[in-house]
Amino acid sequence: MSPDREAGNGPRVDCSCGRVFRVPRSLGGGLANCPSCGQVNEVPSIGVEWLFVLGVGFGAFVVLAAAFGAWQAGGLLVGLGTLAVGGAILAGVVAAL
Amino acid sequence: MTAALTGHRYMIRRKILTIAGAKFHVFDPAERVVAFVQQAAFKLKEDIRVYADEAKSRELLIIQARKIIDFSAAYDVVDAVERTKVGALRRKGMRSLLRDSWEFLDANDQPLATLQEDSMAKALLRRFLTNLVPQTFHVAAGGQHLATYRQRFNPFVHKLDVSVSQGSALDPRLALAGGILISAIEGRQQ
Repeated sequence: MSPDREAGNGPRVDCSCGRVFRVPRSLGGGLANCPSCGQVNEVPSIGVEWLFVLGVGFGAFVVLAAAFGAWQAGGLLVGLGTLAVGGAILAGVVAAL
Repeated sequence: MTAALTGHRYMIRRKILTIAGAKFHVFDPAERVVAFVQQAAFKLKEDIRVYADEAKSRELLIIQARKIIDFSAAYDVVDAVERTKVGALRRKGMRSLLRDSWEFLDANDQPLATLQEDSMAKALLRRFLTNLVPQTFHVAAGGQHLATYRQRFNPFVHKLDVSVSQGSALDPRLALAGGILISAIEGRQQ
């Protein structure tokens, strides 16, 4: 079956031989032979690859969440350290009195 | 068609100790290297190149994924010498969860044949108990057997025998691409 047929509003391919043709949407992002010269052409992708975008988005969220968690944990450690040092000083002062 | 790709029997062996990506050697029945396969590393889309030798002096086949992430991924197979698309292979994502299934497609994405793991029982055994049971795949179209991919028992090095039936209607380049994809994609999932 010719790629032109059943291609409908599929991606448009401009071959270097001058032929312009459309291919089925399933070929988006892939490769297709030109019906005139037979040479292989790259087919433009259709739309956004949502799975990839979601994956990258989730990865970015995890990295940010981990950084935020580390920051919070660091703050907690600093707070506890300050409390411990302060308590030790206070205990020293009380003992001296 | 390149002489190296007109054979009916091959053995694909994964090269161990590769730094990035994957590499395979393709041997003919006389154990001569007829092709060298390199799977590109650090590429968003899967890109596999088949060369005539390890020096990569001549490119024979290009196997390229259509999408970056795809549950039912399709891979276009291009004859790098003739610069024409030979066909494609599409993984049946849902079915492959339990039993590996692929579809061979022609240059216009029309189904040519199906590739399936040998049996459901063995497929489940491999997935849930041990992956030491070697995999076997059969290619058939309309009840006619076209090719077989048989993994050799070797827990350390992946070796796959490709056997295309005599008089098979399956393009030998597609048959080899199928073996390479099984070795590169299915092998990685284990």
